Amino acid sequence: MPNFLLDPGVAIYAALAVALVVWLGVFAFLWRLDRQARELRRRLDAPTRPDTTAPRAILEPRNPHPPARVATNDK
Amino acid sequence: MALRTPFAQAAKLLLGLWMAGVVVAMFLVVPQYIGLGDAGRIIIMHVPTAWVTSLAFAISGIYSLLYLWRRQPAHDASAVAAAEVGFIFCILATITGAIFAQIVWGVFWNWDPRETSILVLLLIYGAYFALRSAIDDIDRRRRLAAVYNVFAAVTMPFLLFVAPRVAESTLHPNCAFIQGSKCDGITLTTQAGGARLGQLGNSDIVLELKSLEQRGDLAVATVNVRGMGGRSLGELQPSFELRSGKPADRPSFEGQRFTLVLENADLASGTALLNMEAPGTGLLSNGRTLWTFLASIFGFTGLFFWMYRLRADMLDLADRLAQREGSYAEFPA
Repeated sequence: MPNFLLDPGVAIYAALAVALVVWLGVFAFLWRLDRQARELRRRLDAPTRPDTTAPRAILEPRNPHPPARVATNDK
Repeated sequence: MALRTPFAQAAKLLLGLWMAGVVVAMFLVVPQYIGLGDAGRIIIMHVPTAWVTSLAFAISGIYSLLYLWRRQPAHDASAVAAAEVGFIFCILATITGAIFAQIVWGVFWNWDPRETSILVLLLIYGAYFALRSAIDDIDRRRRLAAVYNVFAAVTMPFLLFVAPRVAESTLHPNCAFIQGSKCDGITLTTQAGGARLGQLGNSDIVLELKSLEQRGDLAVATVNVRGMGGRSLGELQPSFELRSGKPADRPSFEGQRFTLVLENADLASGTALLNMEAPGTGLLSNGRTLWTFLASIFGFTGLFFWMYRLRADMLDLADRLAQREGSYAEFPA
């Protein structure tokens, strides 16, 4: 197999294939990074919504009497 | 912004296709160069990476100046981003140059002025990153790094463009790419009272012009070549086309891949302009190589701007996130 790749008629195509794969890898990496940075910027630029940002929890008393469900938050 | 984003995305996709085309052209369109074979193709990657290096360091220096003037963190982020991307391209230029040197000169590294100057440049910018990482206080780090970077950027043109040309012993084929490079050669004459003997740069090679005669349309010089200690390296006969005014035969020095070129000849006065030519000189005289080379320069420049803006954006985002530290509860879901 290595001898086949080093054959003068084939070697140039093998080198071309390697160079193309390297470039496509670099391009895909940059593209993905670019998309992630754009998404992060979009989220940072988005206006904050104070009414939905507070952590919420539902407390259920162990005593089933009364079986009321109380919604609250940490504030 | 809404209009800009699709345009920018399309430009990036186009750049991807463009560079893929350059890679294909480098292997399938660029012809083999006499004396170099397939190794001459590396010029399509080597020179553009070196060009992007100089562009990146210049932009980095300008942004550092802007930071010192206006004290805006975004300018510092741009300076760092340009320096980092420039550093990557500088490493690529060094590696591709070393591969070329191995093929042409027989060694990866021989401390040629060109190799030494690019190594010094790498060290200077390596120190820049070390300086940044050594200072904890952000404002102080930005200020000191900007001052250092301005000085670093000033050294760049000298190290990349001036120093290798001042040193006459460089084997780097400068004349192929930049007009006016210092590859003057030596002028010898067969007339009595003139210089018949001369050293070629400081290359340890001494040339003695024995005769200059016309053979048809050619002026042919007979040159006795001597190496270190006056050792004879034989007789070479470079020639010059009198009609076109271009060098014709370029015989190789014994045991080396460098050629002796008769760059000009005046038969009336018996004067010959002789020079040593490294393999790779004149690569761009071929149209297919030249256009692929220009396409590569264009593509690498676009790639640099993409990478550098992306890195600057990431640094800016990291800065904003750090400022929001402690208030992540407000981060939108």
